[in-house]
Amino acid sequence: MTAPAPDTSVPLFTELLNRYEIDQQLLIAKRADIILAISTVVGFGTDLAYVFSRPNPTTLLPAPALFGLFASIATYTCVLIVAYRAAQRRNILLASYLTVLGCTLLVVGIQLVWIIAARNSGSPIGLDDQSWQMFMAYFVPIALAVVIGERVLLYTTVVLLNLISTVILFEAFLSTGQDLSSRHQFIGLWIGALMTEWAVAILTLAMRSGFRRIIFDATNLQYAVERARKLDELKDSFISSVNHELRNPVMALRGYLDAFAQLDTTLPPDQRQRFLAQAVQSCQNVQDLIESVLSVRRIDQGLTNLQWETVDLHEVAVTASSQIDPRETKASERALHLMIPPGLTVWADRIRVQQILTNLLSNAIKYSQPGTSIEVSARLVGLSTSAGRARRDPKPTMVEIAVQDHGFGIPPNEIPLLFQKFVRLPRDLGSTIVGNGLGLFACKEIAEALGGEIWVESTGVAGEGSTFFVRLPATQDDAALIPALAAPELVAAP
Amino acid sequence: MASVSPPRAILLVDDNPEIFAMYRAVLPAMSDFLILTAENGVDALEQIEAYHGANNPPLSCIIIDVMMPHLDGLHLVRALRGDPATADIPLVILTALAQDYQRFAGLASGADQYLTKPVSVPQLLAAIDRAIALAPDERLRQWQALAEAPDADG
Repeated sequence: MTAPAPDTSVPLFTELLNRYEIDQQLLIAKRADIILAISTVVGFGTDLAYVFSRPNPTTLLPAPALFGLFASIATYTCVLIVAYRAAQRRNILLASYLTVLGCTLLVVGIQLVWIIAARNSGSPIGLDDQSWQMFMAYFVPIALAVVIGERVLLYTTVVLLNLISTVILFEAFLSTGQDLSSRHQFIGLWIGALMTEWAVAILTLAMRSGFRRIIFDATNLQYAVERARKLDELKDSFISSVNHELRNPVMALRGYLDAFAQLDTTLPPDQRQRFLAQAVQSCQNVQDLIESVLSVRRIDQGLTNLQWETVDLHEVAVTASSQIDPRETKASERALHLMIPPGLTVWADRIRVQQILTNLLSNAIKYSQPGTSIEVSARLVGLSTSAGRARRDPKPTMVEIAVQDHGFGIPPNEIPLLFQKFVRLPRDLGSTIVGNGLGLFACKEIAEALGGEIWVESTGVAGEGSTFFVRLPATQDDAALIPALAAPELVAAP
Repeated sequence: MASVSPPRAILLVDDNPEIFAMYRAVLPAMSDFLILTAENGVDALEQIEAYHGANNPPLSCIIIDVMMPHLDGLHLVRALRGDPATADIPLVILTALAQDYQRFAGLASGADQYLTKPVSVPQLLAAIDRAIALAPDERLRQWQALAEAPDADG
């Protein structure tokens, strides 16, 4: 029996997220446009080549046109069959692309039908010369309108070209002596041309909106299923990692107890004391682990009972830094600079803010070399993140807290992962840095529950470190009390 | 395992500081082995080389954790089995990985025993003794000792 190594699911997850989560829908839209454009050009090119390949383009020869029509329909059918089979194999993305391709071929097929009909019936009224010109005249702008993606432009083009084709047809009708048979032909052709145009317009519109939505839904569904599966795997790996973390302290605890059981009377007193202290510490480690897992469960169940109050940031930061476990992180070897102006307050839940800061500080310490420094700063910022949004939708003044370290940094392509549940970077899995992949997830959930946000900036270069930013709503009075601080930001926003 | 040879040494390899500290504190008091410890696979190889280089008898047994940085337990086992100088040392894997396939992979790598954390110290010592007893040259030596001392079973 071969089974994958336990940590392989995380790189897979990285890949998955990188592939899907970052602007995936934009990518699909672009690809659909490219396919649409290419198949339009190919279909149009085929028709053009057919017209120009003949020694005398006005001579009627329906057989190649019929052949082209059948080939177009056959290709369309084949493509749809392949799309159907792909969908059966759950390759939904490919299936969606093939469906769009197939429908484009259908549009081209309708074009061919129209051309053949015009060539066959239009011979006495000399429509042959104009048929492919008309085809080019209205199909190319429509294709352009579709590719550019402007609905208004598309409708305008359709209406304008209806007028133009009517004029051309009417002129052809007048030039043939207005006999009864050509009048019927004229009406038939005119209606045929009109309907084909609208068919093309509707189909292309459907492709732009409907089919694309199908693609999005399908890929979103596929993505959701895969994501759920990956999350399940991550959860499994999390359980086994907690399992792993639990077994060690239990075994250490057991070791000391065994020593007591066997050597009780012969142990020298100082050794007894040391063993006891170690056993207590191991017990504490088990307790901490249980606590951290439970606190994540609590976060999972929602941050409902928040105690809103005015929270002094400097005070909270001092408390948070004092809570960091000096045993594990050797915090004393790093200089911690708290650069928070006194009196700066946020409107939040004191314990939760403290939780965020403790997490960020402990991460900063864990993922940096001894001897480097860690800076915590905070400032009042004017409005929300985006200046454009701020103009229309002013938000309360925010306080931005920055925790900067000079540690290993985070590779930029792994940043989107960072705030996910159970995620630890591939780099850290093989290292001795202890973690359960839940700290930053908790920070994000808390920050959002408090009406704020959290993000990170890092170049990924070791030594340059990373900076975590947290924005929380300032206490409302602050904005009035310290207008001088808030003003530059307000001015800076255009 | 009564023994008259010079103090036998065992090497314990584990990256977990708690386990590491427990080994160093408890094992010397509870067994007559000379206890050596290493933090990871690379450290272990260096320690083994240093120990053997100082004209010591081969290590009696090596206890190896699997999930370690730099060089993990399974690779360490393979490295030790591949080196003639260490190929015969009894190797015991002691790990938190408890799945069947992990046990299989551990034993397939060439370890003599596969233990899952947590184990008690007596269990660990018993496993070490068992691994030593089952090691080929040790077994041979014991048989020879039995054969050379017919009086002993009188």
